[in-house]
Amino acid sequence: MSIDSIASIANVSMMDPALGPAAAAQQGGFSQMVAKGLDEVNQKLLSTQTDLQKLAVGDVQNLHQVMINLEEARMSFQLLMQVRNRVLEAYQDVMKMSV
Amino acid sequence: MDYTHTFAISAAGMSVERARVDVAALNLANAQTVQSTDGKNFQPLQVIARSADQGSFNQLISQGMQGASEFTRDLPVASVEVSGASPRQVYEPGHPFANAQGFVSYPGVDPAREMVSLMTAMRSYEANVAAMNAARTMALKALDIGG
Repeated sequence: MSIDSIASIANVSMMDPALGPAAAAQQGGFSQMVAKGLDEVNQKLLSTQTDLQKLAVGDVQNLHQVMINLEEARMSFQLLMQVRNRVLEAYQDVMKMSV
Repeated sequence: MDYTHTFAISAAGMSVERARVDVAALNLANAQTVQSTDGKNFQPLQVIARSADQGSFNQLISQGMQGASEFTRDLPVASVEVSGASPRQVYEPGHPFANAQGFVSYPGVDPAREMVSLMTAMRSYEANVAAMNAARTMALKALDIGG
C-alpha cells in the first residue's frame, strides 16, 4: 500500500510558512517562559530567606510584611508545583501513547 | 499574581493598626511622667488614619505605571498628631517639680481611653489578618483547580 496519498498532507504542514516558524518560536518561547517563571520563584524564595535572616538578627520593621512575603513565596512555589505536575502529566500521557 | 494587591491592602491596614498600638503604648508609658517646670513635657499623641491622598499627579502616574488595581488607591495612611489634651494637675506639695501652688502636672493621658483604643486596634488587626487569610485561601484553592 502506498502512502503517497497522505504524503502531500505532510508536505503541506511542513512547508506552510505561517505554521513552521511560529511553532519554532513558540517552542523557544515556552522554555524561556518556564525559565523566567523559575527565576521569579527563586528570587522570591531568596528574598524571603533574606527577610528571615533579618528577622533572626532583629532588623525587621514590621513582622506582618515578612509573613506576607513568606506567603507570597509559598503561593508562587505552589503555582510552580502545579504547573510542573501538569506538564509532567502531559509528558507521561504522550510517552504512554501507543503508536 | 493578582492576590498581591489584596495582600498590600491588608498590609496597609495592619500598619495603621500597629501605629495605633504603638501610640497607645507610648501614651500609657508616659502617663505618669512629670512635666518639668520649664514646660518641657510629653504631649499625648493620637493616630489619625486617613484614606490615602489620591489627588497628586505624581502619585496617580506612579500607580498607573505599576499597574495597581483600583482598590489600592484608597489605602489607609496613619499620621500621628498631638491630641492637645490639657495636662492633669495633681496636688503634691513635697514633689521637686511642684509649682508655687504645690501642683505637679502630668500629661493628660486617659488610661481607659488608651485601653479601649488598644483593644480596637488589636481587633482591627485581627480583621485585617482574617481578610488576608481569606485571599490566601482563595489563591491556594484556585491552584487546586483540576488537580
